[in-house]
Amino acid sequence: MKLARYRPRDTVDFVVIGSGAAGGVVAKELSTQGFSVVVLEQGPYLREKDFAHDELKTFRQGVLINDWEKQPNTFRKSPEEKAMRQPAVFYGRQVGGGTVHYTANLWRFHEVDFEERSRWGTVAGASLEDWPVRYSDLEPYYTKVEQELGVSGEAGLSPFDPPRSQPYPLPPLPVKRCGAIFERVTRQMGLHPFPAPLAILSQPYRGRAACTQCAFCKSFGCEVRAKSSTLATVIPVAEGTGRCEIRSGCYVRKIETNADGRVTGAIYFDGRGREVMQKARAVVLCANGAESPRLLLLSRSSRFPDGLANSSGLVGAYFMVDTGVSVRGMFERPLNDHKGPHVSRVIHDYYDSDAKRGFWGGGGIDARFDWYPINFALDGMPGDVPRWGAGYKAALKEYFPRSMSLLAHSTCLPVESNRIDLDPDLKDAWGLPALRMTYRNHPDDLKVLHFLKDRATEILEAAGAKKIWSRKIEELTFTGHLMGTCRMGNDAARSVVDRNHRAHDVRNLFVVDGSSFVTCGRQQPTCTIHALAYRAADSMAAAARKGEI
Amino acid sequence: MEMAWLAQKHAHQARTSNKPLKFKALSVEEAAVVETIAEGILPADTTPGAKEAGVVWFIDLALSSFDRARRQAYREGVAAFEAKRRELFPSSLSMAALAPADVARLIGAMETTPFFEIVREHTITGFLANPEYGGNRGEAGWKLIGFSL
Repeated sequence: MKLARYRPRDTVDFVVIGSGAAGGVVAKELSTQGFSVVVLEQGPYLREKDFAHDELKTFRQGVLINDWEKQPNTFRKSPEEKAMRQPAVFYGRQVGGGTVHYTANLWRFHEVDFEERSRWGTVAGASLEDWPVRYSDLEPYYTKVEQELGVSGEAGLSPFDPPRSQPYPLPPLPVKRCGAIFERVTRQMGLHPFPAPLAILSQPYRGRAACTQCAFCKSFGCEVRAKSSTLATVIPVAEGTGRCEIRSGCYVRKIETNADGRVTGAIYFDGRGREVMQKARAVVLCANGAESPRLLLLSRSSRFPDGLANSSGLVGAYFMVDTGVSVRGMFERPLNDHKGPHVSRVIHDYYDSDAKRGFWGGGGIDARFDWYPINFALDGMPGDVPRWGAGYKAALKEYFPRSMSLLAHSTCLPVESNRIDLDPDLKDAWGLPALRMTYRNHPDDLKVLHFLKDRATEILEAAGAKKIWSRKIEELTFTGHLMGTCRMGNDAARSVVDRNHRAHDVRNLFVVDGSSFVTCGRQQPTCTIHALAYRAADSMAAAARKGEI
Repeated sequence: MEMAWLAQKHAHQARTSNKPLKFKALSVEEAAVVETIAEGILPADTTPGAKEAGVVWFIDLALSSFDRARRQAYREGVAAFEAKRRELFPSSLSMAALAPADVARLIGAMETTPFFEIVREHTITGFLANPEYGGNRGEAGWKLIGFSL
């Protein structure tokens, strides 16, 4: 196989910025449909041999995520405040992006998630809108995601699931102890548990090995390629076309435009800090829900003084985050659940909003054990456990094998003042303005969390947990699920990209990733990012073939 | 990140070479204090504690590689522990010579200090990190909680 190598001065058909859930899929789709593609990825090109079962190295020191020393963030709760330097966002920073290290929950959003404004009307203090696409538009692409990447699950068990044209290509992974307990108890309670759909292979699939049930999933790369990351799935296909070059270690600082207001390529710093401009006929921005708006704002010019594609002033606005709550239980007998993929069973009974509750939103609740030894020993036990000495050691011995978590993944409302933009003072290691996050949860977000925390607690009580605990529910200041900042919409004054992810203001610029989301569904956005990317790539390719880019 | 890897390599060499182990960041006196605090955090009972698991070697390795920035905190923190020991137990000669109950009393007097938080984090981390880092000797930490790679 001859890998494609382009010179920066060669005008390729597409430059794709980012190689994660969206960029990997777009690169594969465009290259297999005959286009020349350069993918610019800021992180390294790690391979399976680089993924070690080493909690200290991989997890505590965060080798697979962004580095806040080089790429500082600032945070504030409201636009009136001065933002202070602190880690605010995290994302996967290597070829494959966040799909390399994620927990691999890969369920589809429901039909209602695309039309919540029509269904529920307005919510005071929020900008709830329908998406310009519906579930039915995405269904074929959700199917493609499951088939091409490899997803393990069982359709038909949850009455809340949206309609699907195909079953999952792989059966569910073996149930964990926490999943078995959860399944039994929630059924008794009249709820509807089902196996968590996971982008992890339960059986060999398309030349990749099945999961070996090791303990290292969340925050780790999979060394046997059982996790269906874009690194393990679509990126090798893209490279195999001989038309797609994955160029790692490239930190893009600007999307360049010409006097006609068209995009001409991307300027990046290479691994040695040199500036390089890769020319392209079109640019697809897939840098994630925080870095995509930042790059558009960094790409300002005399023609686009407020940032590229920002005539609406909404680039970076409506930032939505990873809102959730974890309730933990400790049981009389050991569960020994540290082996295997972390998430086992889930319910969507509380997924939909319900006017009777008096607030907007809902969520799923899953049963999991997603702790590693050091992490558990430092943060995993209740606050009333001794912090050192014989009592601490005894608790560690008792709690680790006997604990499980119920994680509620829930909603956060889009609020216009919640934003990603550029810090006016702080610079990153390349001299570019640092990423600034302005965020305060809508009050309903917190009400949902309290509601779901109570539901999760009921389940653990019914299961007979000896001890139940959780953290205090607080406004979120740090997040990994980055959504909403380059909103899709039909109205160019109220959104950044159109229903096909083309920037309203720039004909040959596309943005597809978590930033496209209009509302947040119920978190765990990866499946929908993948589906949007498949659909967007189809429409880009069709437009390119017709000379409409 | 590279530092951690180097540190791991050093630890491996230290374990496999015939030369006696030598501390890189801590003095022998400081190491004795740190080891006593670590043992107070994770004491031996029917299973090994921090001392037997070699946690002090992990801490020395951390301070000579990926956590170099905390060296000064250790210099000052160890001195503060020693000062508190002399205050509480004027006739004592060293930390290592204190009875376990006295170590616990001393830690109790110091447990709200930022330095204790650092030692606590290092001790727990070393006890449960991969044994290559020096502080989970014989997988003592993993055996305690029933974890295996």
